Amino acid sequence: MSRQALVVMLCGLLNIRSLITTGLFLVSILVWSKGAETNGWVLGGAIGLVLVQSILRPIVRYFSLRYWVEGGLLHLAHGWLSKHKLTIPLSRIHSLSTESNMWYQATDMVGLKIDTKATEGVELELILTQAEYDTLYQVIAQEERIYLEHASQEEATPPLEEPSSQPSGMEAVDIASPSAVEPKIISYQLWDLIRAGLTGNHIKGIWLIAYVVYKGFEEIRSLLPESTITRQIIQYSKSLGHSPQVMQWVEDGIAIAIGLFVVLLASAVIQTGIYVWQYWQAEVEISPKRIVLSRGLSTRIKQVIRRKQAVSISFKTNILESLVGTKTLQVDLARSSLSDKDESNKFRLRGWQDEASILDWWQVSPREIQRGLRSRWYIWRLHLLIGLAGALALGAFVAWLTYRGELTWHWQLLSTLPLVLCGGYGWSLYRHGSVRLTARHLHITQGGWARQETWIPYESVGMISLRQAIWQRGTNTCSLEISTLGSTYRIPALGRGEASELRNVLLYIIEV
Amino acid sequence: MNTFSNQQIDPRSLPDAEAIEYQGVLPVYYKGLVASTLLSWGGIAIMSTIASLLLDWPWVAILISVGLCLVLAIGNFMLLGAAYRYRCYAIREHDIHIRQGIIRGVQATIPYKRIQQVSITQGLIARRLGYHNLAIWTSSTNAGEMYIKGLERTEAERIKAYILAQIRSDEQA
Repeated sequence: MSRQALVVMLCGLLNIRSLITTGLFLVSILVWSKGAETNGWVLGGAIGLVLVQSILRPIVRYFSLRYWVEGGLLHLAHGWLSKHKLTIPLSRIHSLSTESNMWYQATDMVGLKIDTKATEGVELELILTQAEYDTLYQVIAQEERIYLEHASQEEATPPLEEPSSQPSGMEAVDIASPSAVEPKIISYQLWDLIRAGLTGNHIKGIWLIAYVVYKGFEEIRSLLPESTITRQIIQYSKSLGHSPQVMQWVEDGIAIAIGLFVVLLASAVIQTGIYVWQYWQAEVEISPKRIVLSRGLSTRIKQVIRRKQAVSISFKTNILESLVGTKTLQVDLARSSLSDKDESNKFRLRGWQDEASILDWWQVSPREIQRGLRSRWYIWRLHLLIGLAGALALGAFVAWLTYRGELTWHWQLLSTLPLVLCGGYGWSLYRHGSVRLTARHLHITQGGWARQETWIPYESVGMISLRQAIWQRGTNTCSLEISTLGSTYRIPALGRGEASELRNVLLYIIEV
Repeated sequence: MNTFSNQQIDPRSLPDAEAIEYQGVLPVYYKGLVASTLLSWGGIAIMSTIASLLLDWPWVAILISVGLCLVLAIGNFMLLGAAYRYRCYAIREHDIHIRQGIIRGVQATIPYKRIQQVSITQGLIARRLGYHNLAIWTSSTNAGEMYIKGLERTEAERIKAYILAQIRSDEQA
């Protein structure tokens, strides 16, 4: 048996995932059998299956794998039953890393991981001898040198970001030269943090405010006999002559509502506390090439966001944030630029007020907007129809209960709820949905209850898709999806012809 | 020194992606679709039978679940033909277009500049029926790979070689 085979088998057998899977499988079988005598062959078969999967799969994959480098391309072929042939241009290889656990060391092998920007995981893992590793590394490094030499020639021309001089006859562009900007420092006070924590999630925030209002109302009502709202509701229901079954529903409903109320309230308070703890004395330093955030009470954390890592900048405004005049700043980072693949690629900071400084940093001028599209009325009409269907269904159910004498006609008011909620959501989607082109960025606004405004540089646009569902064909509308290195953005209910024209322009911009 | 130029572009004068002539996939791919759908519904039927036996479902529940599965399966098979006809692709100078999906149809456009890697895959059904699938991997996080399924081997190899050549020429430009 070769050294490679030994390492593959050992790594497969002692892979932490296979151990966890086997353990979970055994536990689930034992729980399922509920202490009764478990059939031996079922248990043995299950363990055998998991182990075969853990050992056989990597071995089949490994020994069917062939790779070769030819003409600046890395070719891979693997699989016995199902064949795969992958080709990666060497210039697209993002990182090469080596691994050397105790099995590798004992057999004098090197584990090589090859990663591109295509997936969030590693594209290829190879177990090589030192000589094989050195040869492959040399070939890839040679290709990279050629690529870097070419890139350095390109960089010899002055980049657009930092113009050395203004060409004559060219209209001035309203973008501050980053090098001329002094680092700007924005500090968060305690009240800013509490406000940011409370408004970050508007549902929980509204719940907390509702509780405070409710308590105040209850204090006034407590001066009167039989005063709490709960008792009032129950008494009112009784006075309407509902059946015992309906009274039970009312009491259960109130109990569930109180439970939900308490959970949301506790969650809002705890999350605000955690936010204040984590962002204590937060300070944001904006320099031309990076944003540095220092924060934390127990541990002072310093986060550095480099401009080159950033893919897009977004401002999210929910109902509460729009009332208090703050926004949530979100910077999407290229997933492939993160050293830890499980790390979140979104940098969020609530309670942001200085939108202009971030737009300056991102070299955006809102006045640059050249052309754009808005979502059509259709999206509102569709949601109204869904709401109407819900309202009719609920109305019919309430009417049936009223006919049986278990409810009064007052309850029909409840059936308007789906219509109000769906109508409101659809209206927000219609009002917020838009996509615009500027000189350097794609400007997207979207969102239901919360509005999100995003600025994406054209070089970050990866794929453009037009989606047209069956129900959109009659209205000749479609959704536009823009996929970037960080996220995918979707603008619903655009006119089909206009969206297609916008796609043509975007493809032209990407190409030139 | 090059003369600076910044002419206005009329969007109507740009190549229109709507005017593309799409190319369909191999007819044998339809058989592959039918086979994979049969396998999927067969798997669901087997799992449901085992679950109903183990959990001792009442016969009414079994009848309802079987009826529901049958309706969904028939609907699925009825849509297969349309899904096959709708699935197509087009290669242009600077990008590749893929059209697929019936319920939520999508027309995806991938500029060659954004392609990271290309692979040709052939699963068990595809091997039996003799067609190949071409997977194109972009740098977009959520989009992942886009597939052109149901190609002849030579056609898949030709498209792959063309995409790789475009990537190389773009790097050298």
